[in-house]
Amino acid sequence: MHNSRIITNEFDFCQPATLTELFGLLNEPGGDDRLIAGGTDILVMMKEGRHCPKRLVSTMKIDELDFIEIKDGVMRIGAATKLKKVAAACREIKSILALHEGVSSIGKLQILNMATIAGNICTASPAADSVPPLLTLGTTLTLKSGDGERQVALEDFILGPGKTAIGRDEIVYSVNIPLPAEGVGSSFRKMERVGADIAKINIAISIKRNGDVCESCKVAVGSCAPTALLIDEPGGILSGQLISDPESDLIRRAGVAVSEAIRPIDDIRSTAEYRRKVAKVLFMDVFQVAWDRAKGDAS
Amino acid sequence: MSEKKFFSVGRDTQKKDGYAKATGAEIFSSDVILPGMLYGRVLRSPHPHARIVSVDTSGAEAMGAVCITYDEVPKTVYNERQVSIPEKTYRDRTVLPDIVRHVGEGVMAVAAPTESLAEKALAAVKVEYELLPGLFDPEEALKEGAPALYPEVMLGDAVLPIKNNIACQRIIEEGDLAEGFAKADLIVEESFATGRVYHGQMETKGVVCKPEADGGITVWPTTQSIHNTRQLLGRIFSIPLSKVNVHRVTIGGAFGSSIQMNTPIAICVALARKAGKPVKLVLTREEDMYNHCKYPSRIKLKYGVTRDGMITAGQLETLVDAGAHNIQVYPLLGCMAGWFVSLYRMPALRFAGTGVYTNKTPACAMQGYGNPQVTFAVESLMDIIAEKLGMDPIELRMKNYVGMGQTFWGQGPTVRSIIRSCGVEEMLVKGREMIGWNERGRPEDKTGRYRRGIGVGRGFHTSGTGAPQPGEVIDYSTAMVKINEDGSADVSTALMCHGGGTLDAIAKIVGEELGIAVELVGVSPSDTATTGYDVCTHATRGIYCGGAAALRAATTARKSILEIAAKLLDVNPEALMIAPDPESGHGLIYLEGTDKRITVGEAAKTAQLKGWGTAIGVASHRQTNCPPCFVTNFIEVEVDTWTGEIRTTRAVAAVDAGTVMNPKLTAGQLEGGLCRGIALALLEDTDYDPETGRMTCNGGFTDYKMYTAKEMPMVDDLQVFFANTYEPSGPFGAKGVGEAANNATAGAVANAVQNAIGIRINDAPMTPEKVLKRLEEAGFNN
Ligand SMILES: Cc1cc2nc3c(=O)[nH]c(=O)nc-3n(C[C@H](O)[C@H](O)[C@H](O)COP(=O)(O)OP(=O)(O)OC[C@H]3O[C@@H](n4cnc5c(N)ncnc54)[C@H](O)[C@@H]3O)c2cc1C
Repeated sequence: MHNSRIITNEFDFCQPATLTELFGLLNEPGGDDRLIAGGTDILVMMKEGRHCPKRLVSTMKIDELDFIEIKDGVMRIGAATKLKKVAAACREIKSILALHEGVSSIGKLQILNMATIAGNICTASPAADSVPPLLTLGTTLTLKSGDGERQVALEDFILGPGKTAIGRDEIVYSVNIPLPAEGVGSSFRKMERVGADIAKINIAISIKRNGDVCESCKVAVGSCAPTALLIDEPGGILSGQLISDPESDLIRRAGVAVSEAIRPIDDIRSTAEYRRKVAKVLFMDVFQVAWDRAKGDAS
Repeated sequence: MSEKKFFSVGRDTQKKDGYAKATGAEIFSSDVILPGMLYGRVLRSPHPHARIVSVDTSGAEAMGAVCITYDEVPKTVYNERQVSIPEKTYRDRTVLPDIVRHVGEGVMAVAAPTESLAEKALAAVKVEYELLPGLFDPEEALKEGAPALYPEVMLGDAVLPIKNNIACQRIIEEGDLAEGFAKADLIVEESFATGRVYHGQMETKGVVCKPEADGGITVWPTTQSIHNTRQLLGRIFSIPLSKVNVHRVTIGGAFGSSIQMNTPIAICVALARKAGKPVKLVLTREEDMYNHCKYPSRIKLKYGVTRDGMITAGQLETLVDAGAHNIQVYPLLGCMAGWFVSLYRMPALRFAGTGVYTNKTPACAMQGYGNPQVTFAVESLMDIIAEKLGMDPIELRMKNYVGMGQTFWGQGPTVRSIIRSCGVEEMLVKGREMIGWNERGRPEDKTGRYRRGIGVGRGFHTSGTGAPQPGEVIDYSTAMVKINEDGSADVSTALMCHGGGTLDAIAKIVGEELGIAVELVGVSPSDTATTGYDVCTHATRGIYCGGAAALRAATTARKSILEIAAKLLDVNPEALMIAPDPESGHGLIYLEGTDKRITVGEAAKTAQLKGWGTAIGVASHRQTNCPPCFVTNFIEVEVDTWTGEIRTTRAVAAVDAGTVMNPKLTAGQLEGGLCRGIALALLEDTDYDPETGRMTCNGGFTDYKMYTAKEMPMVDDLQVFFANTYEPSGPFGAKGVGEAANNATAGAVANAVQNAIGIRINDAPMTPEKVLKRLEEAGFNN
């Protein structure tokens, strides 16, 4: 039985103040480094003995990683930006309200004040709440190392539980969200055992609406497969359709397509059977909210 | 009802430990640090059932750790519960075992200068186990040929062979059952279940033990009874009680988890004695969750009723999955019978209970002690009967409840008394108004995805376990009150406060009797060397039983100070009165209609100067009743028929606690109890993996979920009220509250769910997964 009170494994702790310093550390030969941001995932895993790094390198003192900027229609969030700040920034932009909802559902205030957006992504939990909204928004990541940088689509970055496409001396530098054009509405919903919990199932949607016509619909579902699943055009039945009633049978059928696309399992939080059943309902719920939001200022 | 006006009883006053707790200054047992102290850790069994073949401690000792194994601890067979008399105490464990019977059971222990070193030393210990087959289902455990957890245990001083893993059994019968059921126009029978809930107290169990130079020990534990802890330690380690001093330390919540002298305490003492140094042992959350849980229930309940709703007979059969140790199944079964019998009158009844051993975390008392489980079944069945009879559920309850003047034996067959205060009807009538009972509608008329329903649940708990004659359970308290030379007073008692304000209430009772403000009454730090025996702060007995002893001690001190004042004022002491000065709070002793007056402080100081002695009172007192504190819950739920999720949208919680000592704290108690009761109905349980014998939640709060304010109704939708009653046998008319607060809740929730969707769910917790399945079976579609 592990001791959740202390970390028995001895390790060094470094807090570089600049990226140059950080990469210097990561490039030291023979290192067994692990990045730590807010620590809300990594410290838990160290207590459980799931990770025993020799050295923790913190990103929290690196001001270059703490920013939110909007340029050329893209919102760039620095890797070490606290979730509280991310949630607040997204609240102001109607088309990405799903991200606001997803991020602010993470833990509660204590967690939001400590945890970072890169931490949420890099833990690569199938239940991570920022991931479904980010997926529907077509997010890319900028990865940096001492040698340069590269862009990766979020979809290609998360490979499985705890697994990402990051290189040994690379870090996530920023999370880049192309801000949707007018007429896009989004919404997020999370089903939990209690009010502050890891998701049984979470879902995000982003709909482009033109009048009463649905131009496109992207859905992402978390906690129902080894990684959150992006489902572009569920059932292929919504784009170009006139939506007279957001509760109509068409939406229900798209919901059925969502529940058929996921690959849930039985685990401590719920059952595969239940997840399938409610995936449809959650889809209908988020569709309706996002549809109204997409309508524009009248809603 | 009382005509008497109280000075401080019944008023909201500042909680004495409020500042210290809010600012972090309060000392809990995990805060106690002594010079040279070592940190203890326990090696826990990864196996549900295994014989320990060998333990190699050389690696740990090489690191400088002190180790103890089975071979080095006293072999006294004990039961951590000390509330029952010895002849009714089943004993089946030693400080460390030679056979582990559940995952998480302690195998050996180490102590080292830091917790980190202790943890590393644990990792260096090598244990060889011989695996034994595990049992996880109580019905399987009963089967012929099932592996045996114990060949024998001790009952009192006798050896008791164990057959079919039956820990104990109780059958209680009254009246002619066959005749009772024959008289019924309607017989209903249903099965019910509730989960294996974890206490979830904020502070995990912990202890600090200091070995003394004279061979004695001083102990700072998390406990609800310092005296029982002392007695058991004295017995296990063969130390005279005068050399075992157990301190009362503030406890971070209990809910029954520390009614016992918990197992880490004995392990810590053994470590400290071997090390010759103080040792601190604080359980991690995982260890704590593997240490104890609530008794889960499987109940088969049957009632016979006449067409006009009078119960003719009742029968309750229960199988209790005790887990790996029989801590208190025997008294639990007696109480379960008592809860059943004392809710509704039955001319004929039968109770049959069996406790069975399994290789799971041992169950122990938790808020309600079998009562929420039984009441869930009874209150659900009451609604089922009402529906079948076409009768309003409240009317059915009014016709049958056990109330004023009737005999009641809530704490089991040996604890009988007559009810002398009863607010049942008042709570039902007022509560139905407040919740809007008449508008609740019928499930068949409700439409739409979200459906609301209202349910009622009644319940009660006893205030302590007192009775006119000695019974199977010990119940008395001791208190000392002395008046200080400035007119303030001290009260000393071994009672605990678990956070609900018990000791504030004791101070109020003393202040009320002495005629001084509660702010002038100090609650003395307490330990076993300087206080008289108090059985335990459990069974909702703190105010009613402990308060009664404090009142008697205060009465003696009052008499003494009045005699002193009488001498000084030259009047007869019987003619004198005391009332607090409204500004200073100091007691003023006066002769009505004259200007003869003296303050309590002046009298006490003069007595000191003249050498007349201290005004002091000591009382050791057993209550000869254990009156029911009744509760009533009205609960509105909203069911999402597409997902099976249930929300509590509104609630009315009422209690008949007699005179309410601290209104705000009592309301808080009711709200907390309601929250936990809702979770019993909808959420909490621990599942076991039959392959590994581990809890599927792994013992952490990541996956053991509890409700918080988030799942409670909004502030304006949660109403609390107190019945206007006065208990003649209680201190200033008071009864208990504590456990009663959650007893009625789960039944009310089940009844509300039925009212919302027309589906009756008898097996708690009603998880969304379960509810959605039932909705689909009933033809609901999402
Ligand atoms: C009580 C509690 C509740 C929680 N509730 C939720 C919840 O509701 N929903 C949810 O999704 N999560 C939840 N979490 C998990 C966790 O809080 C989030 O995943 C959080 O976003 C992690 O961020 P962090 O900054 O704390 O990451 P850390 O723990 O510091 O790091 C996490 C991982 O990311 C890596 N990492 C960090 N920064 C970088 C970088 N710049 N580049 C590359 N790798 C990096 C680290 O090496 C590590 O592997 C909860 C955790 C706790 C303790």
